[in-house]
Amino acid sequence: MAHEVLMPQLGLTMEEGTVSQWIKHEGDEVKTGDVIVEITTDKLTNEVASEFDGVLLKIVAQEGEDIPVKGLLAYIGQPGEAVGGDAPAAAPAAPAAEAAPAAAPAAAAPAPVAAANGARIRISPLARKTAAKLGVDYSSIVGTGTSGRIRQADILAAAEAQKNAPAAPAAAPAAAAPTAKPAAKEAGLDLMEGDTVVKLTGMRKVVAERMLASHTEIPCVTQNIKVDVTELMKFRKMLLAETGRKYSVNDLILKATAKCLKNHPEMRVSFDGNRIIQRAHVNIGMAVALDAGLITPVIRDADKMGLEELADTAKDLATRAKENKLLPEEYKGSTITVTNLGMFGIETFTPIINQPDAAIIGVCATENELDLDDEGNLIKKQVMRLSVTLDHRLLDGAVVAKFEMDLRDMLQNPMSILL
Amino acid sequence: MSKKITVSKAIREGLLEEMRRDDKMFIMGEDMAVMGNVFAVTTGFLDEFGPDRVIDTPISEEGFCGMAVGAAMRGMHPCVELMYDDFITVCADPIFNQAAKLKYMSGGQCSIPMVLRMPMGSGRRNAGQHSQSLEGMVCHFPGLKVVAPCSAADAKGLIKSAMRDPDPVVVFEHKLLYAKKEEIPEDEDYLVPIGKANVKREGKDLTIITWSREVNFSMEAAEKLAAEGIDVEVLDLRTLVPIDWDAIKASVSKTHNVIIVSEEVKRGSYAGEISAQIAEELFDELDAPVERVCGLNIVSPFSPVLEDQNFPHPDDIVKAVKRVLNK
Repeated sequence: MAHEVLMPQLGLTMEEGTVSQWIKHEGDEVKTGDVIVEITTDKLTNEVASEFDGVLLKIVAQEGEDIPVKGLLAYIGQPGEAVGGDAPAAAPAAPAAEAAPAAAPAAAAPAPVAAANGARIRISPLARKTAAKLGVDYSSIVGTGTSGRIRQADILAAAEAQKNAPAAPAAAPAAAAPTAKPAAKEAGLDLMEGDTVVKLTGMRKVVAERMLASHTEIPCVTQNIKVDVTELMKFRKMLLAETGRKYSVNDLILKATAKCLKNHPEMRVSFDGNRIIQRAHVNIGMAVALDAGLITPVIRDADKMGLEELADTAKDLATRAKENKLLPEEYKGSTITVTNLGMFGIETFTPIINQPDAAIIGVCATENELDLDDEGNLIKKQVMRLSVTLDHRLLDGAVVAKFEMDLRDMLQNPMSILL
Repeated sequence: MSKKITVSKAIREGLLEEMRRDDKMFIMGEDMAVMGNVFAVTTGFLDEFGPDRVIDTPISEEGFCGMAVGAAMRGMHPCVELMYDDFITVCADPIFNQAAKLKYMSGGQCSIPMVLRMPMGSGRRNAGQHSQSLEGMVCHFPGLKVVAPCSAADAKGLIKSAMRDPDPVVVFEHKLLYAKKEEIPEDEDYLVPIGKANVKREGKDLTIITWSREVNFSMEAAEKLAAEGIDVEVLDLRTLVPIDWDAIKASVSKTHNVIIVSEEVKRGSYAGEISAQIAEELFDELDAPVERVCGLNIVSPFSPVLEDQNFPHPDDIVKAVKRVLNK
């Protein structure tokens, strides 16, 4: 029997991937470790290597097709070997195997292996057994064990709660298995002469889904604040003279933001249904524009880095983002995001929040402005606006305004960024 | 009726009673006769039993262990001491390959009724070559029974059972327990059976599986935890092979949380073996991952400051219990 090549799961939240390119073709000899296909997923392109020696007998998933995790991609085997009953279904089966434990007791609630958001649930074996016995759906229970693991006590408490509130025990919205998102309907637009059609795939598709979700779920407000960056620009020159290194405006803004965020824990929150998660770490997402879309690698614990380390990290992440070489965990876990359109001359904009952050800081262009000094003399200043979008479910305008003022003051007095 | 004596005196009593009871028994090892053993376990034995039954050997562990195996094959009951368990490495063949296996290699034509006593453990500033806890290595070999008592009463009762056992029994004795004074029964002929663990303290929140000196540390930890409302059970294994699986199963099925505490180097430890067995057979009883609380994966340091960091103390056990219970 030939070996099946399946769509790998490359991140906790990955549900499907798009076959972007077959490196090997039907009939090609493959060895263990040879890259056979490229798939695009979760904003990145990943290579899938063969786990077997043999010949690529049959390609089942064609380029451009979206295949669920564990869905069939191809067969590898010995020449002439039969593949999958010789009649592989055109549509690969959904990843049913993991979702349904084979021998669930008849009376028990369906035992979910995935949380509502698709992540694997941490639950102790004893708690799982107890849940099956008592018929408790644990997909929405928050565990009290290490790392949020659900323990027997949590199941017993949930069973008790279920008993005491018989009216709505099954009202938990969580689905037992991650249901595939319904594909957006094509409106069937008329094509006009010269139009071309490209399938929405990979990064573009992810960006589209995430931006739509953020924009529709979050009641957002954008607040612009003007920053006098005259001193900041001088400070950059001074740093260049002192250290010989040319720090970008963005480096200094990242550093100031990290420092400021440390003093403003109220800005580091995430909305999660009925819970507010207070984020312990200052993890700054940094939006990087790519030809195919955009991605936000995360600078972890940015508040603990000196300017040099922070600038190095930002540069490394941006470079690798552009080369498509980020690891999945490197673009997850942000607690706030900075997006910079200043280099494009954008005066102000309304950035869309990168969920699950509660705010995003948009950095705008530096412009010259005339002003009057205290004696009434005309002076030239350099100014820049920060456009901060906030999630009004969690944050209020005045709270964020205070943060913005602190950030502004720090940027206007640049020595304080490094102190 | 009971009396209060040190662990080394309790072992001495056990050996003395067995020497008087069984004229096939003899004692052999370094400084066992004239000096009466470095931990005074055999003082007076030479006078009472003479040089044929209490034998001083040269520093030649492989040689005298081999002699003991041969004597046991011929029906004698040798009790051999290695001054430190670290020296087992030079007698690996007579113990692991001969004593452990001859019953099976000979199709049951002979058995090896010998006892190998091995002082073990850290805390005496004896440095890397005289401080090890090698339970994991010894327990690896089928054919050996292995005991590691903590209390004076268990030490005496187990050494007597070991002497009466038809198969080779290795006795781990912790060097820093010898001087501890404890109550033991007056009764001359009481035995502690090989293969039976002892629930030293009952509790409902978590089971500490342990042996030898760490039993005492675990009991101290249990008292500290009790003050904070955490009720742990302390299971003193006493025998490592054959392990008292019924006792482990009963306790784990009751508390659902487990740590295993031993002085061994963590990597490749017998604590790890027990942890794996629990994961295999009692998975559905577990409410948290099993944690091993052992020594570090390092050569035992000579520096007193560093050596004391290298085996679990009561506070380390307290911390581990809280980690597992997320308290």
